[in-house]
Amino acid sequence: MGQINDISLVAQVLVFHNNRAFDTLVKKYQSPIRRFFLNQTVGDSDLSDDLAQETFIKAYTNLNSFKNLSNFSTWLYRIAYNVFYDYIRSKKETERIDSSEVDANYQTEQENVGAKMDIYESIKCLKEEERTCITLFYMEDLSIEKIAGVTGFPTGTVKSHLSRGKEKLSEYLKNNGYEKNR
Amino acid sequence: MKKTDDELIKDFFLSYKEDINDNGFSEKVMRRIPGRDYKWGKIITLLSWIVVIMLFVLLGGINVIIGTFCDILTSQGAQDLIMGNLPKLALGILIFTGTVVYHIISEER
Repeated sequence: MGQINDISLVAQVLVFHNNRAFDTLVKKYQSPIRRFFLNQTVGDSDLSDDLAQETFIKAYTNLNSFKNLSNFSTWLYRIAYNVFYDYIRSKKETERIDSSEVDANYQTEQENVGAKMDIYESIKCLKEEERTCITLFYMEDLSIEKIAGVTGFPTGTVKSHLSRGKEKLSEYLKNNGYEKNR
Repeated sequence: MKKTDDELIKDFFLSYKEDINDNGFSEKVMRRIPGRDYKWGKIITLLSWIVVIMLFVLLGGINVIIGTFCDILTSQGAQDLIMGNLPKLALGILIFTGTVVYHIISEER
């Protein structure tokens, strides 16, 4: 039902240039997309909002390339993923530093919002790809096949990122007293 | 019974999963939508054209143009010029028409 509604809203934007229909889509998906970016940037809310805005604007300008082969939400996550990795690449190019240093920079930038929250502390121990797969799987409830569709990784690669990420996360959680008896 | 790693992580993420309030986010996105500027641009252009055409008609622009053309066509100098350069004029019209037709065809492709 939700998917049919999304397709109807997309059609209204494309055929009748109905911006209110797009506004409805933005309102519907702003929360998961902003949460996705918050997780990727380990809690940088300003950066997350900028990237989320860019995602929706790209979605609007490329709406006619939405072929309905996947859910609208999966398509939107794919744009968000590309926006984030374009940002990472441009940051790496300008700063000419490696991925671990980018992570370290994020961590120092986030102190006002994210560093105190356990969720962002915990996902800092993950590599970027592992973080993407783990948060999409556990936080956004996407299946392995959908994560593969979003990231462009083969399903085997998604599974191995999930497995390595799970290992690191469970170790972190156990070391920080999250393991409780049922 | 202890939780499995999967359950542990699932419960952990679930406890932190919450919806983010819009707080003007969608409004900011809608303000940046490119079509919005384009739509306003089209409206402003249309209004400007209407004002220009109205001023042109009200200030007698049409009469001035008609008068000028009549003067040119009825003057002796213009008649001599047209008659003396008829082949050149025909060639010019032919080239101009050919260029216009070529542009229309290439744009349609």
